[in-house]
Amino acid sequence: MSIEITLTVNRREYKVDVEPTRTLLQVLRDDLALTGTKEGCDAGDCGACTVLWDGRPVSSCLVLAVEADGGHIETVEGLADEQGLHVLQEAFLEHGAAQCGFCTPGMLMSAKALLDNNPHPSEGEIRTALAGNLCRCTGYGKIVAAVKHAAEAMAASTITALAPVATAGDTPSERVVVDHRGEAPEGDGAHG
Amino acid sequence: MASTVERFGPQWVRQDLIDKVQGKALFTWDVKLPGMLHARVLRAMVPHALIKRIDVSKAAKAPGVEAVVTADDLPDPVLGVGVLASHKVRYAGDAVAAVAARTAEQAAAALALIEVEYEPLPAVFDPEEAMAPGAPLVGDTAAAAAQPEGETAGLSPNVAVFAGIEDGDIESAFAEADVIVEETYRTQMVHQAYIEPRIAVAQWHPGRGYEIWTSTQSVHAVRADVAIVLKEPQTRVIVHGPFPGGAFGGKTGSELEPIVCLLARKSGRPVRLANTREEEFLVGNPRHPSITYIRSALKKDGTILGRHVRMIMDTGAYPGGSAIGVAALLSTGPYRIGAVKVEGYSVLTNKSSCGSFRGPGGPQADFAVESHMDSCARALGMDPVAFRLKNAWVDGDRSPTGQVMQSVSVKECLEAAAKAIGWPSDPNAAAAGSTGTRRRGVGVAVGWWFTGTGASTVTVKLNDDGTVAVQTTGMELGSGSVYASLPAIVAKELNLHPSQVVVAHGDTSTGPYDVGSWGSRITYNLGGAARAAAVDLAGMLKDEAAKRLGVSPDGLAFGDQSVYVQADPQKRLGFRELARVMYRYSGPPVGRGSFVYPRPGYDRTRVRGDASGAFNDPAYFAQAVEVEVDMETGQVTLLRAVAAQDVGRAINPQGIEGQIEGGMVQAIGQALYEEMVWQGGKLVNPNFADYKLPTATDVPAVESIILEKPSTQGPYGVKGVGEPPTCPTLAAIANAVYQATGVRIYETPLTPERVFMAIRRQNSS
Repeated sequence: MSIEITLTVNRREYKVDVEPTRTLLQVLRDDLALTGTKEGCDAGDCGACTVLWDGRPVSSCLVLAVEADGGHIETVEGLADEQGLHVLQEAFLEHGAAQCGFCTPGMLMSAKALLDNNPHPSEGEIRTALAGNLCRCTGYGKIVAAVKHAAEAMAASTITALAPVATAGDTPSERVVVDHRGEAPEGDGAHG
Repeated sequence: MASTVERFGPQWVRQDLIDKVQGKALFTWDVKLPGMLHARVLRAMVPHALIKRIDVSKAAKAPGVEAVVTADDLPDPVLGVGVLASHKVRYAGDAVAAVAARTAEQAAAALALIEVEYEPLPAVFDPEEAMAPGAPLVGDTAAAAAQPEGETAGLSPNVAVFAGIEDGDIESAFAEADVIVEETYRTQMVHQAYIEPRIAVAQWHPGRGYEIWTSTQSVHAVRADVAIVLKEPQTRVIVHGPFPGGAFGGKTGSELEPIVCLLARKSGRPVRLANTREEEFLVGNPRHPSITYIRSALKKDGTILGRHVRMIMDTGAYPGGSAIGVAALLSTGPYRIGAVKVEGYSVLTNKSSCGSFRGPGGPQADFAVESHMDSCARALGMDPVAFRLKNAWVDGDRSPTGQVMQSVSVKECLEAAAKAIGWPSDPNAAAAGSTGTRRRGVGVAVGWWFTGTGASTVTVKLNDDGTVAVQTTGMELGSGSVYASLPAIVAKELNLHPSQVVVAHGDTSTGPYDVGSWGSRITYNLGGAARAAAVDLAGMLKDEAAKRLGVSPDGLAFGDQSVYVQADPQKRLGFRELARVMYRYSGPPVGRGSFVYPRPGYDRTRVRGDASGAFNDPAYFAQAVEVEVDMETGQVTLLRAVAAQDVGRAINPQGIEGQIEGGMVQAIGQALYEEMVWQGGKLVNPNFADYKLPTATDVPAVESIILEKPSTQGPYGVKGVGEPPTCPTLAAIANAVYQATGVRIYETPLTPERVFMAIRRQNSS
């Protein structure tokens, strides 16, 4: 039994047929081929699968796709736009805040959720916001410095301060219908 | 020697990071092939047993199942020991069978249908019990059961490795001592805990053989392992290495790859096999737990007459890695010592098989000897920093194995770290900031570590657009040693901007050989090969330009992607033009390089068994921390963390800082939080909820101090960087806790419970 749901992901609307047992993470990676979001534990402990759901950071491995029906999802693929990289991405590059890169997408999304809601965070607030994202490479110092720098850059310049990509209620800019047989970029059909 | 005074090259953003911050870098986790099946492994749930019977017939008929394999599918079960158990399981986690099905859920469901009949055997979990004669034997071959001779005579055959060092008359040293300090230190089993679990995807081509995509530190090591286990020629095993999502020594060999290849061949379809996080904890190769008995013979003036170390490592179900051999040489510290005796044992038990984890043997040995150095100093009434400075090696001193040490920088690193942390003039006085039940203290520890060796080759090719490609199979684990340092080195030799040098990462069938990304060896060995290849290419370009410009090659130089005559810079040939004519007329502009150098000498008569004889171009380092201890709860809070490290020459300073900061935080995890907890042969905390990694709120920003004292042989003087930061942290923290509380903690991790109980014992005695 599959259920049709509507997800707005990075401003594009998708209609997807999903089994009720499938997670948001599985749908993003397998059905929509948005593989930037990573899986590290499948138990909500590591934060590698963090995406924003109506602006809030969630572990997408713990969210059933059907729960997110009608929701606005932001993933790492939605951070950059025609203007270029997001200020956070630029700051991560400048500070060397990524090493192996596997936790990076989730880390960026948690950081974005923080800055969207708190443009002037203290170091303690940054560390608390990132506490659900494990990184085994960096020791966190350069990530915290990058987020701090991004906040300062956004405060200093309205040009570089990008508006939140999408929040609930925004009008999606595009509509795309996806199912397992149709435009699903890599739908393997195996779960159907 | 000083902090970097001259940058090696410009700061620029390396290619892989641009992809990584956009979620566009390819990891094996992202590899998806048409028709790909999903596999799961059935693992033993008993710690030690004979396999009487395996019946996979029901599983083979289950929905979606395309293939089931057991040890019977291996060409030779003996070669597959540790891959798929044939007649015996050695720990709860050993692979017994594997299933490939159309979905991972179907594969998991089929596992439950496999019937395995076990005959339980007595098991042994404590390494000292396992060493004793008559202990249950973990190994299962005739050779493994043979009674040991020589250094290990009288011990159980469970002693897998002996590593000993003897230098001088240890008995006389203790007979002449004014003070003897004798202690025992213990460290726990910790996991690399990279965020991407191990995963491999394989496909079988009847003509070309196996093709594998895997999360690994060495495509060539995987190729060699798979070829042996599956009895295929190496050239019929093609291994691709997408970016690994962290490794830290945990992805050095093969584990999933032979199994997924068997399934791919049997099913005729591509197969993906990924560890769950729970499996990752069980079947990884974590850091060996250790017990170290250490005693020192001291003179009142602070001279160390002798040091005797007996170290036991618990290697688990299979003898993995060389940790004990390295630890044996590290275990007496980088100090002048009259006489040394080291006895190291690596012992099999019925638990997860331990192996290489960033600096294997380093944290264990350094925790013991650097905690002990503080105890020695306190016993003598000396300042711990002054005591170390009095005894630390300088250039020309000899290691316990007789290696003549060069480019030594222990003192410089220690002085830099102690200064940065604000080392007190009176280390026995109450620390500033101590109030009531919250006590503050600072601690230091030093260490030394080798720069890894092994074969590296690189080719450097001029592209027809005038850029240069550095071709390699070296794996980029995240440090930038491949994607930042190699372009920087090639750019240096050809006077290019590093962004004009692209990394062309190859598989085992197309790329130049490299042994693997481990042992702090990449910038040194692969960097040396890249430099040699760039010099080779530079010579070709100059020769061609000289011919065409009618000048001598000696007067030519590189600049602006061209070769020009130094005396007449207008006379020049661009790289694009050179590429065009060379590809067409005079042979390809492709430079080749290896890095070949003599290994350091030592006195072989001092070395027993598998102890390391000498360390190639060692790096030296020191760390200092400030802690606050809550005397009522035992909670240790890290207030500051300083790491001073001699890197020889900083090719990529930002990447080096990243290595120092990340390595030290990993070691902070071992010092304060992490432990794989075993109860009756069962790992009880195989997940990130119960196995506590440091988070962003647990640790301060590490303050890194980069020092440069050129190595004897590395390109531009580089020394190994990646592993040293994990070594001294445990002792630095324990020493700071001592200074804060007056209580010595002999075992890691320094959990609140352990610290609280130690404080209480001290108060009641």
